[in-house]
Amino acid sequence: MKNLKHIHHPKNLEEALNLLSSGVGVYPAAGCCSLSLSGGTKINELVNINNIGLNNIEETKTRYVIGAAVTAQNIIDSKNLSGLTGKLLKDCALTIGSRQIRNAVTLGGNICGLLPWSDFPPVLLALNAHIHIKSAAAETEHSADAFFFKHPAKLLSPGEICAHILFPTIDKHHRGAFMKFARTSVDKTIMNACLAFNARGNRISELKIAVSGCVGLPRRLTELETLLNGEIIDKNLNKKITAACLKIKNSVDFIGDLKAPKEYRRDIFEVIIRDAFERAVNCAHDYTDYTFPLPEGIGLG
Amino acid sequence: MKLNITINGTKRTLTIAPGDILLDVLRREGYFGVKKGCGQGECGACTVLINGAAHKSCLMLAGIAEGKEITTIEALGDTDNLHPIQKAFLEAGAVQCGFCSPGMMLSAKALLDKNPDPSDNEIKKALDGNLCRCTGYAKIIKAVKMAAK
Repeated sequence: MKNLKHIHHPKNLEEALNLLSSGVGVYPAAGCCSLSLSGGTKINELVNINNIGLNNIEETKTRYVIGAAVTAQNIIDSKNLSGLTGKLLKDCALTIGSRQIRNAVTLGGNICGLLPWSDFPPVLLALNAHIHIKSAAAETEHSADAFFFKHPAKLLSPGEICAHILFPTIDKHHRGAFMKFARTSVDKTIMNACLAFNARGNRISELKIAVSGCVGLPRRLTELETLLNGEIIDKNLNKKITAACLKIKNSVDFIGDLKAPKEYRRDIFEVIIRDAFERAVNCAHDYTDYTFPLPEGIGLG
Repeated sequence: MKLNITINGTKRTLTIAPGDILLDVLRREGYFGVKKGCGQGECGACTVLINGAAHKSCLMLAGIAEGKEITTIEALGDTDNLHPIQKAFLEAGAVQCGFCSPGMMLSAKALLDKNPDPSDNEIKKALDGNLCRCTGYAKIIKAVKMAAK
């Protein structure tokens, strides 16, 4: 970063926001993993947001409030995060890089910096999270759908930062799963999928499926959600998932890169989605607060 | 700009450029146990502890470490006074070329400080950011278990 002139260390959020609005080329910095690699000639000053009170995970009656500077390892270690929200966030965090990377990568940086291999976005989309944006003058909240409609760098104005990520409380009948497909356990993703649905009455409803890593921007697969909402959870579900994936596949704009060509991502698409559903259907065994009984012999074999 | 950090228990004020990477700063200050392997956050040879947690110093701007406590391999011991982790690595035969060893040992220290009796899977997960081209990892895992005792 040859134009970087100074790194500020504010003591609180208000001071940080004032610094961020003080001029052109002033950006927030937390883990700095991608900044260290990519540089960036537009950056004149950095504002260290690691020590301004954005490191907390709080549970209210209706939602979880996660500070933008919370690291992936903080999420894994958190005793405040539980239920399906906790499970999906922790499962995602555990797939991120290696231990050292998980100690540095922050939730806010992962979603705002938004590199093709960012892992958290599909979890936010599947769980209908909201992103709380603050500046010195104002604050707003965006749904995950709106936040990832364009690259967040285009959504965030100078002086604005992501302060918190808000996850609504999930109904106890919900199931969900996060899947990451990569060449090794520490490699960048080739495809991520996250889904969540209400399984009340042994039928899929309120389904949300999101993918990243295989497409340009993280997105929900709304066409697939429409096809699979209302389906019964039984041994035929596997075939229905495959058929639905094949039906909508041509509308998905797969990307190719050094990790895998777009044809490969296209070929593994329904496999990953099917595996995610199987994991979701069977996830009751991982939660002590889930009482919904699975029908006998269930297994999407 | 000035950087105020604690390195191996000693408070230091260093003069750095804002864009300096922590790995380069530490080596410039004489901490040669912090190795540059890939420079891209893949190999883990640059691992240091920051406030007790393992980090890859090649991926960190030095300025972001303001006010933190850095631990390098030099803090663990020396040839006359080896740390239990260093002794275990030697006894288990977990050191061949030795290039990955400082990073491995620091990752092991971070694990054992929080989890004194880790399982094999916990050891593998804690060391998953440290690559070794020589040993095949089995003796490294054995060494960490020996150090845990």
